[in-house]
Amino acid sequence: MDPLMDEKQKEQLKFDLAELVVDALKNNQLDLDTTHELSEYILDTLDFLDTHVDALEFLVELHTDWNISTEKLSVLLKKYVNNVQMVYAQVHSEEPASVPQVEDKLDVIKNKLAYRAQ
Amino acid sequence: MTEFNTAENIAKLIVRPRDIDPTTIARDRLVTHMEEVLYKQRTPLEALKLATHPTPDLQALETKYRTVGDAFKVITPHMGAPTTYEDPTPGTVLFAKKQQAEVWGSYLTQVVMGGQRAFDADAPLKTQVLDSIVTTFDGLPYYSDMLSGLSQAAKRQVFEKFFNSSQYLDKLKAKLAAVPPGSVQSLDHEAKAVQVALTKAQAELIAIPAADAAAKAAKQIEVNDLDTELNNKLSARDTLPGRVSNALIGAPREAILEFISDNIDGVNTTITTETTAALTAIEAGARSDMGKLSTIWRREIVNPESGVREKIVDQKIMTKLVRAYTKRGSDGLLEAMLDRSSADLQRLADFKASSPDEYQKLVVETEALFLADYLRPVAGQHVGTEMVKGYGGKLKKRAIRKIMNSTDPLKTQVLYMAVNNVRNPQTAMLAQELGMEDMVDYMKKTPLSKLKLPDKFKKLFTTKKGLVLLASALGIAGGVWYWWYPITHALSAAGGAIATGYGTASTSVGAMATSAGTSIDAAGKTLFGTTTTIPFGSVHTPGAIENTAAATRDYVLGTPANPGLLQKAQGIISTIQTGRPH
Repeated sequence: MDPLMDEKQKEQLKFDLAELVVDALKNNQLDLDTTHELSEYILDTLDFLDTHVDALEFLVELHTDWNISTEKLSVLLKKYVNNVQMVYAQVHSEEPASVPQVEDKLDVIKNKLAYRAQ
Repeated sequence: MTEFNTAENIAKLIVRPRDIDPTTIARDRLVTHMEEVLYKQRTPLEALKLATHPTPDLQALETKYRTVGDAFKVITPHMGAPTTYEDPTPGTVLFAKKQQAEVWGSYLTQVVMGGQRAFDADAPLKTQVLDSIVTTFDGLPYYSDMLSGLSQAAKRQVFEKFFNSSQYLDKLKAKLAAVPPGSVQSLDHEAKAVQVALTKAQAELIAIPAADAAAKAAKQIEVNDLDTELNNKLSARDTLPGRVSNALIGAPREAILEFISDNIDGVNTTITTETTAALTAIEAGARSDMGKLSTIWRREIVNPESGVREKIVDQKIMTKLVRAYTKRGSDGLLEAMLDRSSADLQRLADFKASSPDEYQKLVVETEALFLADYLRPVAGQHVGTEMVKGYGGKLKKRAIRKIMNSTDPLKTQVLYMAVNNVRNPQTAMLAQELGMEDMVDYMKKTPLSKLKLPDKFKKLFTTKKGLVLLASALGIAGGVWYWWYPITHALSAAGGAIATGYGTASTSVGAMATSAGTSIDAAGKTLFGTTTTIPFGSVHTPGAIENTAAATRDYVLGTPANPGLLQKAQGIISTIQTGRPH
C-alpha cells in the first residue's frame, strides 16, 4: 500500500493544482467555462488524492482528459515523478518487514482463540 | 384550579389591555397577540375536540349534544353578543380564529361539531395540547420511566390514543349527561311555547265558574304544571352555559390526573399498550423514512428526448455525500443526508437515539444502497469507453478505492451488499475496470446467506464485532481493496473451521484451537504465500498480498511490455517540452 501524503503535502498539492489551472487559463488552454468545471472537479477530487501516486495519476489525467500541456504541468509532473520514485524506493526497502510472517500470526491467533475459549 | 379554569380568568387574559391606546396598536400586533392568547387558552375546547373523533360512541354523543356549540357561544360572563375581533368588548371570550371571529358562534359550532375535521385542521394546537400532557406525565416518576426512550412524537401518539380510550370517553359522557339536551335558543323557544300555553291555561282557569270546582282544580293543576315546566325550561336555558362549562371546562392536565386516579389500572394498561404500539410504529416509520433516503441523491428531470419524467442520480449531491462518507464514515453519510432533509427525517434521528442497534442495521442497508448507486457509471461517461470528465467514472474510481481502503471491516460487509445488489452490465463493466471482476463474480456465486455456517457464526460475518474479531485475528484489518477476494475466501475458511470447533461440544479447547488454526493456516497461505520443500531446498510461492503488491508496482513502475504511470508522466513531460516554443 502506497504511503499516504501528510497534511502539509496535501496542502501543497492543492496549491500546485490551483496554480496549474490559473496557468492554463493564462495560456489560453482553458476557457472560462471549462476552468470553472475543472476547478469544481479538482475540488471534488482532492478528497480522494491520498498518495503521491494518486497525485501523479491525476496530473496525467489533466493532460490526457483536459488537454492541459503547460510548462507548469511539466514542472509538477517532474516533481511528483520524483516523489513517487522516492516513495517506491522506500517501500521497496521496507517491504519485507511490512509483510506479516505467517508463523508469528498463527501463534497470535491461536493464543487469542484459546484465550477466548477459556 | 388553574388560572385558565374559569371564563372570567380566560377573559382577563385575552381582552385588550386597557392601558394601551387602541390607536397606537398596530392591527397585526393585536391580531398576533389575540391569536397567541387564544391558542394558549382554548384548552377547555380541546377536551371536547379530542373526544369527538368519529367513533360510534362519539357519533352518538355528537348527536345527543348537537347543539352544544350554541352553548359555548354564551360562556362569556355577560352572555355577550357577537363582537368584532379587532375590538373585543372587555370581558368577552373569543374562541375563534382571525378569519372566523366575526361570526364566532357558528365557528364554535363548527369546532365542536367538526370533530375529527376540526381537530386535524388545528394540528398545531393539537400538538401543543398533547405536548402539555406529555410534560405532565414526564414529570411523574412511574410514567416518565415508562415513556423514556420514546421520542416526543411517539409520546404524543400514546396520549392521542389515550384520549380515544372508551374509559376516558365514558368519563366525559358522564359529565355531559348532567347537561340538559338542547341549546339556549331551543330552550328559549320551548320556554316561550310553554309560556303561551301557560298564559292560555291561566285565562281558561279564570273563565271557569267557581261552582265547577272539579274543572277549576283540574285546570289549576294544568297551570301549575305549565308553570313548573316554564320554570324548568327557563332554568335549563339560563344554566345551560354553566353546566356545559362545568362538564367540559377544566385544565386538561388536572382532568387527566383526576381520571387517572380513578382508573389507575386501566390507564396503565392503555399507556403501556400504546407505548409499545408507538415504539413499533416509530420503528416502522423510521424504516420507511430510511427507504426514502435514497431519494436524497436523486432528482427528477424531464428527459429532453423522450419528454418522460425520470429520476437520475445527482452526481454533485452524490459526490458531497461520498466526501462525507469517506471522511466520517457511516455517521458522516447519514448526518449529511439528515442535514439535507432535517424536517422529514427528524424521526430518524429520534430512532437513532432510541434504538441504536436497529439504527445501525439501517445504516448498513443505506450504505449498501448508496454505494450501489454510486457504483453505477454516469450515462455517457462509461469508464474505459469514452473520455471521462467531471463527475464521471474516474472520480468514482478514486472514491471507491478509498472506501475500500478503509480499515473499518464493516465496509467489507457494506460493499458486499452493494455489489450483490448491483447486477446490471454497466456496473459489471465498472467493476471490471476497477479490477473487481473476481470479487463481483465471487459474490454473485456465493451470497452470504448461502455460506454453510451455523447462525451464531454467521454473526461473525454479519456483525461489526464479528468482523473485527476475525479481521484482527487474521491481521488483515487494514487490507487493501484488491485483497478482498482472497480475504473473503480466507474468512470463509476460517469461519467454517471455527464453527466446526465451537459446534462440537465435546471438542477440547486445544483441538478446537488446532482446528481453527489449521484453517487459518490455509487462509494465511492464501494471503502470504507458501513455502514448498524440494530436494534442493525450499521455494516460496507468492501469496495474494505479494501478487497484488507486485501488480501495483507494475502499474506505477511499468513492465517491459506495458509502460507504467511514471513512464506515462515522463512521456507527457517530454511532449510538453518538445512542443514548447523556444
